[in-house]
Amino acid sequence: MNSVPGISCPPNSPQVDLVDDHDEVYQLWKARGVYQAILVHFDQHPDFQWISDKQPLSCLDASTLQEVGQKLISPQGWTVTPRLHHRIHIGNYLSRVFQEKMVRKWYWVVPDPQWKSPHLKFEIWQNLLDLYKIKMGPMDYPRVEGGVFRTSFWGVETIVASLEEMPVIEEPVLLNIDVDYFAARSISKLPKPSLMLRSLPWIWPEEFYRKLQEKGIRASLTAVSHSVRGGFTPILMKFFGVTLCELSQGRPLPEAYHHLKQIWLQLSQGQSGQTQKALEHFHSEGIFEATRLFLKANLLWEEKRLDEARLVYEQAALIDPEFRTSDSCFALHYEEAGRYTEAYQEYSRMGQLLQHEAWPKMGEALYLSRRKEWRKAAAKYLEVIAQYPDHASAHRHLGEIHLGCSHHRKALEHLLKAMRSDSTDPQTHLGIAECQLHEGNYEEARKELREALRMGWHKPRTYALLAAVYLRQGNISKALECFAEEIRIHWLIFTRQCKQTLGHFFSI
Amino acid sequence: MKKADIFKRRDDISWKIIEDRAVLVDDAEGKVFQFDTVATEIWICLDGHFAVSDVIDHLTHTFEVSLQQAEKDALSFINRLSSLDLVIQADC
Repeated sequence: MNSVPGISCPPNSPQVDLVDDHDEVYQLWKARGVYQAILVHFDQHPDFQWISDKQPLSCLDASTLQEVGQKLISPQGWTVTPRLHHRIHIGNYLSRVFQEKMVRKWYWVVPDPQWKSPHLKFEIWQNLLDLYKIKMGPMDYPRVEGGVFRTSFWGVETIVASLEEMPVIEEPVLLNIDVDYFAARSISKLPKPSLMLRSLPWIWPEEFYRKLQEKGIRASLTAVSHSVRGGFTPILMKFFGVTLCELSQGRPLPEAYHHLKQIWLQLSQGQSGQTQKALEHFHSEGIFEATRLFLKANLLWEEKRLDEARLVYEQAALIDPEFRTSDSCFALHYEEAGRYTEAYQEYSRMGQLLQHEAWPKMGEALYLSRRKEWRKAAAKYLEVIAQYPDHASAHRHLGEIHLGCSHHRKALEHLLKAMRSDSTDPQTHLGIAECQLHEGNYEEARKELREALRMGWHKPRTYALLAAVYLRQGNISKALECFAEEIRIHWLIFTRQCKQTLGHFFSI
Repeated sequence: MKKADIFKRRDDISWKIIEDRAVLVDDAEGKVFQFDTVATEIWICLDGHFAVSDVIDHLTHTFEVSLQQAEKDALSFINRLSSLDLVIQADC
């Protein structure tokens, strides 16, 4: 079975599709005439938002000014870009599925650790409220009922819960499983790439299927999405995709799965020696073999056998080129080891191999920025922007380079573009605030800084800027409060770093 | 801005006259503009051939206003269009 997007598994019952991006499921379901079904969607991320189909150009389709006015005030959100290239949004396919009445009820099932954590659960709730506020489409105000979140999109009843809260559903459902559901934490939140090897899934696929059976959930159609290219699923979990397909079709799990699971468990317990031996003792094919080689490469790296490690990693990437991702390439290891020049070379090599991808160029640009080679770094970011005009991160970094050079207007231009593509990055708010402060727009600056704080960005720079705003506005006491907070956070960071460096010799 | 300057509408701005008023869509910035009748007349004139003085002249005849009034309206509006990057100065 291949993990080629859109290619379905052998036609056993029930039908299973293995894809990378959720969007691909829409066409497959449409072709099969799905209508008024119940959808059960397993996913770690609250990326409900979708890119609206409504574009400003549609205003010119109007024949009267009244019609133009109606279009402008319509509650549906706007989009100025047809698709954000580097992000996958569940909403991209869900909004269509809802509007075309393919689904009449939708359960979004989040991982248990996420649901049990008050902080993460609140994030989901906040996300629902944000969606309601920005009015991307017809949606009911979210509410909490019986321990689950409820709302509706285009009249489709929506329930957010963990598997535990799921009711018994009599009829067969559309099952959509994102592999990142199995990850205990988002890959972007791992402090070091090497921790990926030691971060076990919170639930294993066979255990998940057992729970599904216990709940009596049966599928008429199953779709499994890797979400590897979008950067949500750790590459090490990609083999769960094939595994889930096998389970969905009632087949026994491949031997290679059990080997990899065993090895992963040993790794998490720090048994690296045993793991190396176990890795040598089995060979498989396809994604399982690529995963084996990837694990081996990473262990060789830990043993400082660098050349061998690189070679083995390349073998894994030859079997499955998706192993060359921003979250799994060897440049990350070099960065973690502080070997930035080698990281840069690795990014350059990846850039030549993957010319359509932005992340290798971003890696190069970050290296150049670190060396304060601003002109060259800016040129790299511009290369990314030429390829992906709405690349939020490239715009933000370019904006910050301009900010550092006191080109405030240019900086603001790029930061606003970054904001339009991704409003969830607090650093963009900070950059805009600094520009507004320079322009004398103090209220605007304060608004941006408050937003950054609301997002949890309690950093020294946030308070320093807020203090500067208050100072310019003549509010001395507030400015002093913010300066004090800035110093307090600096002190916390300093003491933490000292403790990390000096260990038990350090005490304050 | 000098009266001899020539301005030109940005090529990538989509626009249409609806009920005698120009509706513009700046797709790159995601902005929609709607002009009144005087502004629409100025917008139409900014095709890269007429100087600002020609536009002022045209306004005085079309709307039967004083030269001072036409000059004030045209200069402030073209300035605004320029600051919004909706028009660029054409090479003479």
